[in-house]
Amino acid sequence: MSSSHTAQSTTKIAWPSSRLEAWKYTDLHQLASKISRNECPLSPLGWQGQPHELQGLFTELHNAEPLFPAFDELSGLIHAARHGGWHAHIPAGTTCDAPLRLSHAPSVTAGWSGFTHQIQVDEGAQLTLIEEFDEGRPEVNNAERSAPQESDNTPVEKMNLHHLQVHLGRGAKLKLIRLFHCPTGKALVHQIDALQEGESNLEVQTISLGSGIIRNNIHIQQKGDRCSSTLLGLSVAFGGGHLDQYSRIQHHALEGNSHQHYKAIAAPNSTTIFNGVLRVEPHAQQTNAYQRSSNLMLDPASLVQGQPSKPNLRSGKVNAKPELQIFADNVKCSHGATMGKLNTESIFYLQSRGLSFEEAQRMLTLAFAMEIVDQLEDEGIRTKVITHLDQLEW
Amino acid sequence: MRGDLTNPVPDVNEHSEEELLLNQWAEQDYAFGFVSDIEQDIVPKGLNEDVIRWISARKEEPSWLLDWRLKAYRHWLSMPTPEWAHLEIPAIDFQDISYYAAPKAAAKLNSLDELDPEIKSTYDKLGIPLEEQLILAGVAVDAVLDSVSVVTTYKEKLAEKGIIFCSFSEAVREHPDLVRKHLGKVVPYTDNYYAALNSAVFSDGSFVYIPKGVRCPMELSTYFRINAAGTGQFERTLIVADDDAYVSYLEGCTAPKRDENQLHAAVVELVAMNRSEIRYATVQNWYPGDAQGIGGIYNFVTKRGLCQGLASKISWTQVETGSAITWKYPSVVLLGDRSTGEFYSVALAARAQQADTGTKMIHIGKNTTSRIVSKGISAGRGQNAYRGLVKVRKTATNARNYSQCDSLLMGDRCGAHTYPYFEINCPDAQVEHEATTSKIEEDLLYYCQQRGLPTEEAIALIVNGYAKEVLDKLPMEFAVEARKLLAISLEGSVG
Amino acid sequence: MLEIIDLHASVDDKPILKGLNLQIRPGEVHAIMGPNGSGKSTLSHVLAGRPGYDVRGSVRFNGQDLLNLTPEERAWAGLFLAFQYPVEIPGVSNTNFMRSALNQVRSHRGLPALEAGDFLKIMREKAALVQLDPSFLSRPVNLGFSGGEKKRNEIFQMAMLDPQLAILDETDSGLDIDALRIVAEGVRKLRREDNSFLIITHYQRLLDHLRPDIVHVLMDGKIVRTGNDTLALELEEKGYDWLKAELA
Repeated sequence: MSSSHTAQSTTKIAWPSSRLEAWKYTDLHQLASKISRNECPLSPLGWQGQPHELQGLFTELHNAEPLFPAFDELSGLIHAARHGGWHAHIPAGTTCDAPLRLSHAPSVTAGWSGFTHQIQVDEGAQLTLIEEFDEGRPEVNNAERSAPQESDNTPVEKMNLHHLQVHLGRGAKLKLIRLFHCPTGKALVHQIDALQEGESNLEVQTISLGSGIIRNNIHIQQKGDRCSSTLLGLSVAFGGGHLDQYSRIQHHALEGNSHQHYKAIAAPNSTTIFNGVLRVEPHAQQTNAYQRSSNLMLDPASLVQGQPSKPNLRSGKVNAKPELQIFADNVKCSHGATMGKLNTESIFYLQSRGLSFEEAQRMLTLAFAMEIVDQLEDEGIRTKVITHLDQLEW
Repeated sequence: MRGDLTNPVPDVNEHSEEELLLNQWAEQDYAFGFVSDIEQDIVPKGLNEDVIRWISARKEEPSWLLDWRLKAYRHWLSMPTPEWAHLEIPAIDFQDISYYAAPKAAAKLNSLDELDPEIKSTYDKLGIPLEEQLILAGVAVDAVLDSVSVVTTYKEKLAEKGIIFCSFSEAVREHPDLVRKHLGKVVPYTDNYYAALNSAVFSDGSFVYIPKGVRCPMELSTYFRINAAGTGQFERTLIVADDDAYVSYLEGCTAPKRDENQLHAAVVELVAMNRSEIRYATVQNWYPGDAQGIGGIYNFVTKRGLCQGLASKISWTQVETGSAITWKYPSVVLLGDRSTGEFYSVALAARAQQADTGTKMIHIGKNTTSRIVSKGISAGRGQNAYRGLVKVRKTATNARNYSQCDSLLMGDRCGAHTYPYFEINCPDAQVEHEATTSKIEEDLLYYCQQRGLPTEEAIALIVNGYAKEVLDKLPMEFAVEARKLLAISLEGSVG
Repeated sequence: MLEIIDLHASVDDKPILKGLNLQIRPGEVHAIMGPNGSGKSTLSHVLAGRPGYDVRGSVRFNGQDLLNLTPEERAWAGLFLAFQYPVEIPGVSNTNFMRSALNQVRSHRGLPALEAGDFLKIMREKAALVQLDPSFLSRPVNLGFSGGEKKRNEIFQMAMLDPQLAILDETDSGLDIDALRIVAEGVRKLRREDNSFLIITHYQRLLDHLRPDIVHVLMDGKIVRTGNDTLALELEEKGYDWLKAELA
């Protein structure tokens, strides 16, 4: 399952830099310039208890044309420079009851590799796809753990780029549930370009965890009337992690709906970014759009309390940029963003019921995450996320 | 950004009566578009070091100031013209602007009686009392016509308390140490393209100093008026409030109706020392251009306040109804511990106006607080954007920010945009932001109509209610003015 | 005063009123009762001129063709609707709102605008009539008012604007017993020889206080029965089903 066609070398690719608004807080140009491109095999598809009737729907993709022209430069770049990918086609009227599961194995060698995937869901068809991008465990290095590097300075040797094109036919439904995990020294860049025809329904649930670099782009164009897009996400950055969640939803047609709720937790020395663009084009009347970003910062001062062996913890960073661009008047659009630490009153309340300061903090932090985790529509992914969170050491 | 939009020609027949009405208001006539026939002393068009030397010499400036201007000019030459994300700005020919225009008048005025009657009538038409006997108004006024300050009222009364309120040129002559100490400290000439240009060619503006422990007993106010054709206005205002001082300051702006675009690039610097408070309000009604986007002022302004002292407070309030293009982000640097920054804004973009305005709140000191309330109104083909930054540095423990940005859309050819940026580097911070975009609810309109209000009046009432939180921050007499201005900009003859 | 002949109204092609006839003379109090979804609120909004309805038929109000007027013109002509769900208007005080509205209404009745002092005096009087706390007058219209306070504010506005025909759309819903008594008391004090009321309600309890002259039953978009106030008592006791059965 490897592909070996050659593409341009990294040096010739115009990676987006932080001078572009969409990449203001993550400079892919700088990141990519530090790593050499590697002829990397496509990570094997992890078929896990696949419903038989679906297997035939997935084919390996070598030189297929894009489903539609690239939405922006990055998807074009990944497509042009890809090593391979897969293609799924769900014919009209097909309803796949059981979810389809894919897991992408960690990249093994240093360097970067790019993949392009496609999903075509025809009229009235339904599919749930569960994907795991796990770049493996971080090497346990106590010295490093006690004094993690600032995220901006962490050397990165491996980068995986994924581009997923989604085309939803009239009335089609697609649910994507994804777990990203990226340890120190690695980077994961994922971009979804989704084109929605009338009355289609797209749900994307995204969990990003890591001490490495993750950039998640979700770019949705609602082309037909009465589309609905629901995005849900949780980012947990720790140990110098840099997690950037970018979404762009463009409403082109009547009575569109979009709903986004993202939460992020930034542990000391780590950065989370939320950058969401909501754009309502002229004539996209009666659009109803909502976007919320809630961000929790863990206070190194209180983390150090009771753990005097952890010096050098600096505060994390949260950057948020929720944008509304509205060109139609009969719309209801709103966004909200909050940034803060745990409520000291709540910590005190738990302490007064006999919990230690650390327990109280951990419990409230998990509670903050659980609001999203509880909504994940897959038991397996939910369990994995909870396990990750339980084992976390800030 | 607007370039990538499809903008089909609207079918007039399809427009409901309400829409037509909305458009009619959106294109309402500008009441301050007259030109005054005043003899002008104008420097020829063009910009070079000689022009800057000429301005400086004309104003009898000390050499340090000329040097500073020249440094700013040389720096400006090295800067690229900014390309602004969401504004459509035609290229500006900086050699086609005259950088100094002044009424040809007696060198020094000893009393208001010596003021050119035409100038006085200009301000009368604007409804600005220059007469000292209008003491009941309780407002001290500095009037700037084109490049120079023509008159400052109440100077003596203020001087009794040690308050300095005069034109910038006079401050350079009479209080050079104070000016030198603060000029360019809050907005350095390297700050941005238009701040650099202003530093090189600024002509006049207001200067205010409130000494320690003094509460300024009246509203201070400056009226800016662009009159001469082919000129730009580059005023510079500096306000310093010493320890425990308080001042409330208001500026108003108008300009004649012309087919050409005129450039207004001002710089305002505020410095608040320990426990002092500066309230700065703007009612901006520069000529907005016509419905087709011909003419109007380009309003590119840098305004920044420094809360230097402990528990100091700076509050910006703005009502922006004019200008073809507005680019303005009155900001507060919260350096002193326990300092407070506020930004209250109503911005209206009708006709073909583009407004890109907001604020920056930079939290550096401990226990600092900021609050942002922005109310945008878009009508006609207007494009209105809120752009704001809340930055909390690592040192700013226990910082608090609350932002509320609302947008109101009237008609289907306008746009409302919100671009808030949050960069939080301190986990102690508590930052909250809410934004909404909607049109006037039909039920609200219907309810008002059922009580007998005609549609126009109902809309004016609802819009004023929508903007109330901001209008309430203005001094009483200006709040009334601002309400009327908002109504006029929207409704025309009604209100 | 009001003459409705063969009134039809539909929303999105769904017919709601299907040929309604009604006549109200000066000084009369009419009540319209009917089960949920019978078209009661639609009738009130069609009369007040709310956009969004397709309307056919004839409605004459003091000889004028009501259906051709805008909502504000109907208000000027003397029609008032107390909303079932009064709207909140942020930033606009009750006082400011009423002053603007009253001066508009007065100017269309050929009366001069009121001096500030006279206006405030009238306003305080009318507020007392419905026992509306004067502090509500400076608050934004209906914002943060409880359900009962909103309804009282509607009756207060009615008192201010002194309409010829007042339509009360389920004003009793959401009111406790005391508030109901206050509202009813207020309405009773406003009754005169030359003005009329159309009370739309679900229940008998408001009618206990107001004693209507004529009671109508609205079902499926038509008035199916008209009687005196014993009809209301009968409905309260037996519900609507017997009537449905009888009609079927």
